[in-house]
Amino acid sequence: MQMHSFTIQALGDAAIEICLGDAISPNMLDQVTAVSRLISDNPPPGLLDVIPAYTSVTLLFDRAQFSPTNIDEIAALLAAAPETRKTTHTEDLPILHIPVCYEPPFGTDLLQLSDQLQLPISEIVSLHCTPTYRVYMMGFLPGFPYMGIVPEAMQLPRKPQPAHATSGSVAIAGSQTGIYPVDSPGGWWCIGSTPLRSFNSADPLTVLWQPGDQVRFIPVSLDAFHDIQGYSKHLSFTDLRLQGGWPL
Amino acid sequence: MMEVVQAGLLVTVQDAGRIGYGSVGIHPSGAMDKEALYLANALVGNDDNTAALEMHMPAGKYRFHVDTWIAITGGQLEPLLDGTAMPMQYPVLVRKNTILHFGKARQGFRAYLAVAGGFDIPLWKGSAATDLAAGVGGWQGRALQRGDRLPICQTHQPLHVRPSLVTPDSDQIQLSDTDIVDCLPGPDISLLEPQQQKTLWSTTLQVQPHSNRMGIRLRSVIPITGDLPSLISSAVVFGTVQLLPNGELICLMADHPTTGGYPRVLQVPYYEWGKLAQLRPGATFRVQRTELAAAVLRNHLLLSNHEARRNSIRLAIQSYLV
Repeated sequence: MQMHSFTIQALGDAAIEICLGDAISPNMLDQVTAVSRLISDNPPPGLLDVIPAYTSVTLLFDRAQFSPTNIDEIAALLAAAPETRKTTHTEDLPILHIPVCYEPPFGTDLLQLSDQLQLPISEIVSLHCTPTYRVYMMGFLPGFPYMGIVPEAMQLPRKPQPAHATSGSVAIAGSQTGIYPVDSPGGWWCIGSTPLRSFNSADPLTVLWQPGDQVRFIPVSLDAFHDIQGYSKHLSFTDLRLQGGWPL
Repeated sequence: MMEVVQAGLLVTVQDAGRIGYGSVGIHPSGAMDKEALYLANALVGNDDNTAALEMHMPAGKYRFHVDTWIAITGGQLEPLLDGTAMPMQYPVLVRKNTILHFGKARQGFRAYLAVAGGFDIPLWKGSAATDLAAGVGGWQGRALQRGDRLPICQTHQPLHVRPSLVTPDSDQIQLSDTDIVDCLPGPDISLLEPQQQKTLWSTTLQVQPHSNRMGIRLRSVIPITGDLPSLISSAVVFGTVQLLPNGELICLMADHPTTGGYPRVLQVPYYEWGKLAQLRPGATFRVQRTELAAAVLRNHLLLSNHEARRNSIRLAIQSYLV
């Protein structure tokens, strides 16, 4: 894996954005993870946060200490980093199994989506449950995972108008799929809901996910949804991760 | 303890915010006008980053159940103690059972109420800031409601304050001229056609009514139209100005999400944030281009001036501690 292909620029007056490419891919995920780790392991003075995204890593600095020369220092750190690193072998990663109920009252956008895609709902559900997804990044809301890649046949740009999405809603937009960790307005198409929590301010991990995670969706009935919701609510995120989500 | 007798429109517990958890998507939250928050805290002898209230009009009505020193800074929302005008930008001793309410919003948009010792609010991830989107932090993760009783930390209370020692300098308390806001070019500005860029730097922007703590919505009097590519989501920060598909701009503020996918066309530097935070819906301004090195210098100057001012205020107060 090449480490030395990047562009670097300021984002505002106290942040630096490192761009590593312009396409979402598992290889890019590895690069983003490696750069995030490199910076976190060699923190420059005043570093407050490291925010990995699909193809970029953004560094936030204390503005009292920030100087434009920080950009050159980070560039030098990246340029001096080893050029190749081992690519993550996904077979080594555990898979988080996420139960999803695609039945009413969930999946509030399924009818409209089915109409737009000219696909029966059963086909959308089956397509959505086919791939093993990766968590590429978190953003938007605490613990909102940006996962990909959604099968092409069910890809559709985000909704024209944002609407209310309830906590647990599983949604898609373009090649991405995600889960609303809390009630929120949002522009993604809601196709189901998971009974598992993915954000808990009292949990030591705070969120269920980590970038790089592998995820599979398992369709469940409404009855099973309620059962799992009852059983799972006392489990910590560490427990859920150890048991691979909620394998059925 | 301070009791909410009548709820305000959006009164939340805030401090400097929750920085360092962007990788899991936790919003920074915190005060919109950070320098006003820090000043309010200094005036009652607190550390800058002490939990205080951020208030919008209508700002609500409160009863103090203990004797406490308070200070209100930021927008001039006409605070009244038992019906009598209370000075702003100044420490005031409030006696038990006093009622604080507000008259008219005369200038600015949001104010900060600090109490000596600070509100006793449990920290979540190192901050007392209310995260409204996630419903965590602050006071039960939400805006204050009627009947809430906020505990106040016990502290040494300043007994006497000599006015001359704590009159804040005029630069800090007067809201600056908001006709012009300095901006840096954003990382995605080159996606705009040269003509669109020219428009952006010369147009007048108007603050829209659906602005909130997440962002100030801006409409350009000269529409900035044209197809813009949809981008791969990446990090955004306080002050990032995104161009939305409908031509509206949003300047991200305290409750901004950590990432976004709209073109980041401008970036408002820190020293201008207080101005933005005090703009009311309908206010207009133009943007003026500045460069990174100049903006960083201005930031450092503002930070050190304000810090020196707060330190002298704290010294003035300390010499009158019980």
